[in-house]
Amino acid sequence: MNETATNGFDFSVPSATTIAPSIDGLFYTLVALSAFATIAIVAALVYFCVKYRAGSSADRSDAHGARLNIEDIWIAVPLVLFLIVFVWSAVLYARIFTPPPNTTDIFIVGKQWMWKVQHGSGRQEINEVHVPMGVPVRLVMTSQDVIHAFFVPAFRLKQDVLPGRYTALWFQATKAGVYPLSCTEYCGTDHSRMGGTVVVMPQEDYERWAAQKPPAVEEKPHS
Amino acid sequence: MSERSFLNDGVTLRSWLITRDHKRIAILFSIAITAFFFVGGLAATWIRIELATPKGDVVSADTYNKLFTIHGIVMVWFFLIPSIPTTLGNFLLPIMIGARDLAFPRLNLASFYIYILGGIFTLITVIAGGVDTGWTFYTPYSTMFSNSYVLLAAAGVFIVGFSSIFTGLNFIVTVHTMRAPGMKWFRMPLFVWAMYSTSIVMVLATPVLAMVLALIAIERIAGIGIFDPALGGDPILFQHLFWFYSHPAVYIMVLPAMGVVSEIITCFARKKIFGYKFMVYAIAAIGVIGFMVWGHHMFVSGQSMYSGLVFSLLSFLVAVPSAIKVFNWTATLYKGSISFEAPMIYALGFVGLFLIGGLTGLFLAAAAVDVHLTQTYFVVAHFHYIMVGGAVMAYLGGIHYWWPKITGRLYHERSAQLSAALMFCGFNLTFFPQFLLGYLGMPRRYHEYADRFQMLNVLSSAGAVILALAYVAPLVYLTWSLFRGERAPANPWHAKGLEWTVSSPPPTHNFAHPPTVPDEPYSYSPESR
Amino acid sequence: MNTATERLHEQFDTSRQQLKASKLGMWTFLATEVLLFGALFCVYSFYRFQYPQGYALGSKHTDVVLGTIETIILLTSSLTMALAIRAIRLAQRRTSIALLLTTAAFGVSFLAIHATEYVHEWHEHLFPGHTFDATLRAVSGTEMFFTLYYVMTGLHALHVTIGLTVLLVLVELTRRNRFSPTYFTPVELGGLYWHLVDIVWIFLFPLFYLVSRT
Ligand code: HEA
Ligand code: HEA
Ligand code: CUA
Ligand SMILES: [Cu+2]
Repeated sequence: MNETATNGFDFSVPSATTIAPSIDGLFYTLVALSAFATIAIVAALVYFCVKYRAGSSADRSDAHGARLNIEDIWIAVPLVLFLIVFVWSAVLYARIFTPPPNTTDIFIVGKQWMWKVQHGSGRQEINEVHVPMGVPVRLVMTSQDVIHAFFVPAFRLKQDVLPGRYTALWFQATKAGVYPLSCTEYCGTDHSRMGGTVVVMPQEDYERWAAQKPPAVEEKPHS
Repeated sequence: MSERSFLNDGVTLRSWLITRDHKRIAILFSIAITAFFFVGGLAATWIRIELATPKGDVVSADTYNKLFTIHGIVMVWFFLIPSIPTTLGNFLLPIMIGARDLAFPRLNLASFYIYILGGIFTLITVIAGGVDTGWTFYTPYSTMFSNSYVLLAAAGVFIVGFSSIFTGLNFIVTVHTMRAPGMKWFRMPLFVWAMYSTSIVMVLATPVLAMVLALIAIERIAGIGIFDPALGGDPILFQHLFWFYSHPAVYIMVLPAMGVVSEIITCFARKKIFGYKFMVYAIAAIGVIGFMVWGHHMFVSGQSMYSGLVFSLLSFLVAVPSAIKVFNWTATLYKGSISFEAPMIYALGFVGLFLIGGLTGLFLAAAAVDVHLTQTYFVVAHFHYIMVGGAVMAYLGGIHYWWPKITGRLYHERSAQLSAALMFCGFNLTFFPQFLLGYLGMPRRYHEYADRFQMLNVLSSAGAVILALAYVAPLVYLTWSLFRGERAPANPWHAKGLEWTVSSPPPTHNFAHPPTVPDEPYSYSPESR
Repeated sequence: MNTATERLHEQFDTSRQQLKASKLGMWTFLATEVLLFGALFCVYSFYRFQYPQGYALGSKHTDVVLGTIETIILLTSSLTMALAIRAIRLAQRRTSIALLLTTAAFGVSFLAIHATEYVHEWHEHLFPGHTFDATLRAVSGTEMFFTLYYVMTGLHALHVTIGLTVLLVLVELTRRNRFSPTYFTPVELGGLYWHLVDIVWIFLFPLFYLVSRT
């Protein structure tokens, strides 16, 4: 990876599409909910373990006594929470699956172990995908051999790329920059090397870039 | 040794190898399963060594791919799926319901030898050069592209599937027909319920796996298209069939663990399990709904959006009964009289780690979040939390809890408590960083990775060292106890349940007089400690 | 008079319990068989939905006359199997042996007819792979149809063969006077298995022989 200075201690992942903040919103809500549930349950466990440890003098009268139907509560509460999360995630999932009209289409072919890219203008590239910023882009993808998957963490998006049919992935990039891209569906020997970069550039730059004949030696656009 | 027990009723090797006593078969299984655990663990060790640095400098890419594949195959099919059912289940199920043996003792022995045969195929696969498809055997890679020993490996898994089916069938019939007088359905210990439910899932899901593997073999051998799109097939169909088995399989792995934990917690809290009936319903609900959520492994596979949404919803629903169980275990402690012998530490460890594993399962069930997290280390962390943190902890907890019963010896309590605690810490250090790695975007099944992930990977590898020590420790002190351990009384924990009414170790036919069961299980009371 | 009774295995208390266990065991086993074929039926339906033309075309090339004969044979064999059990109940040992043998004979003729079908199809280049008929291959799904045809009928034929072995063992046991009107569990269980094999065929027949004709 050439794009970021790394010291092995970088705990952030950029967020560069319109959908990314929404996914993060749900993700962090789940983190909060889970943290709350974990802390609450672990606290209860520890509290009981201490208070009711063998030999403690805590009151144990009526230990098996009748009490209100507490199970109903702890079926209902998680169920309601789960349903809320489900609906929230369903809305986002539907957004991921429904591209707006008039997308800029880019064609991508995966094969062991590289990504071949063809732009509408006819310009081609390998293991690098230039995309315009601020407009909806749709990647139309297929594979020549086994299943691969196109994953850009900064976009919070991923899609399997299958042989014998097309799958699509749409996004609208929001931040110019160079982002790592990886193949995440296991595809054989060099699966872990089947990566590359996605270069997000302002739309005019993209159009100029796409219209250019590729220079003999591709120079790396630096951000 | 004065008393007659199943252990000294015939001491030749032959008397062990052709035994039909469920207790002896349980011991045969536990030896084989432990061996496979260390085979899988050795592969894991190698994986973690490789991943300590970003570059692929220890093994080649192909070797790495074979390592995680064999790790997955061995750990899932040769360790975790058979672990609790064939050892603790085999040993305890008949005794817990007051029977002299399983309904079909010969089938039980056959199940063991089928397991061994499947295991031999798997070992031959490794010796011949390995298999590199991942434990999921995704097509068309597995059928048309892999140059490794896919057929041998698939044959091993195919064969061991019949061992599962036979064990499951045996348990189902035994529970239905061999209960002692008075052992009504709602008087059965939760461990028996868990085994029963697991058995049903095994019997119904495993044939599908067998068929899928057979179809893979046909496509690979004959080059006839079934799943390969180049030949008119559809790889997504393979995924549906595979997960139709493999999702229920994850409940095959966790239901028995839940059963064990229920037994342990109620015993060491000296309290009746909270909400017995709800626990039973939860077990059943997990078994049933578990069959309807397989598509949550395929949110980005290219299946339709609508199937994705349905599977997402069902995945949230299947989590509700698990939640009930967690709450009920916690509530069982309330007003108990709790002591912390090793089995209890394992059981409490299970609850905590299962909780985290389960909650992160919800992240993955939320389809939109899964789009980002799938195929990354987040998933790896999720399932290790449940399977290693959860199910393996529970298995070891059960082994400790019933060790005196099975072997007639007591182990060194302090060592056991320490290694349980060590395991808990080592486990979290190994796998918690993987959640972060996943969110940051490190894909799974990667031989090499970007430098920015190194720190967390080093933590994970360091944790794995501690974890390895914590797994070797029981092997040492438990073996030691076999020879030097104090003799165990019939009921060292003052526990309830039929298995504690017979001597330790139990006599060959379990009960001198057929027992009768007058009342509900778990008649513990906190005052009586 | 035949007084053969069952040996009570030591893990059971009563022979009623033992009988119940054997029956439940058999039913559970049959459930696994249903799931085994069920997986294939899913594959079948999945592709049929995807390739209706290919399936229709493929089905035209299977031999519906032979298929019908095979169906009749198997249905009749189920009847003779049921009658064999009845005969044992009525203590008619010889009749029972004769009926079991008839059942087996039906099974053998089923396999024989099916084998001629296979041979015939081989000559007509209906076997998937590089020998497959090129004009048929042009319609997508036809080859898949035949793949599933061979896999599913082949697996079924394997089950018939296993059933035949069971029948022969039962004949031998009956000959040795192992059963009586009060004890004939193995025959009953063998019968269940045979009926399952029969029922599977009842599903296979329309799926492979009657696609375009419905
Ligand atoms: C024993 C094994 C086991 C178990 C029990 C589970 C349990 C669950 N799993 Fe997991 N899973 C695996 C093993 C297991 N899983 C494996 C091996 C894989 C990866 C396979 C591969 O690709 O190689 C996987 C992958 C996996 C995926 C696919 C990920 C991907 O590849 O993209 C998903 C997605 O939905 C998922 C979801 C769940 C859910 C919702 C549960 C639920 O059953 C969990 C329910 C439990 C709880 C939720 C905890 C208790 C809850 C509470 C106490 C509630 C209180 C909280 C609140 C009120 C907020 N799992
Ligand atoms: C029950 C199931 C189970 C269990 C118990 C484990 C246990 C462990 N697993 Fe694994 N794991 C899986 C099931 C399991 N795993 C599955 C299904 C996959 C997916 C495979 C795939 O992608 O196809 C996977 C994948 C997987 C990966 C991801 C690989 C990748 O995607 O590239 C990693 C990485 O860290 C890992 C690590 C570990 C570790 C450190 C342990 C530890 O808990 C193991 C600890 C045990 C030991 C360390 C043994 C102790 C003994 C010794 C070390 C002695 C050494 C030997 C001698 C001295 C001779 N596992
Ligand atoms: Cu391509 Cu992994
Ligand atoms: Cu699942």
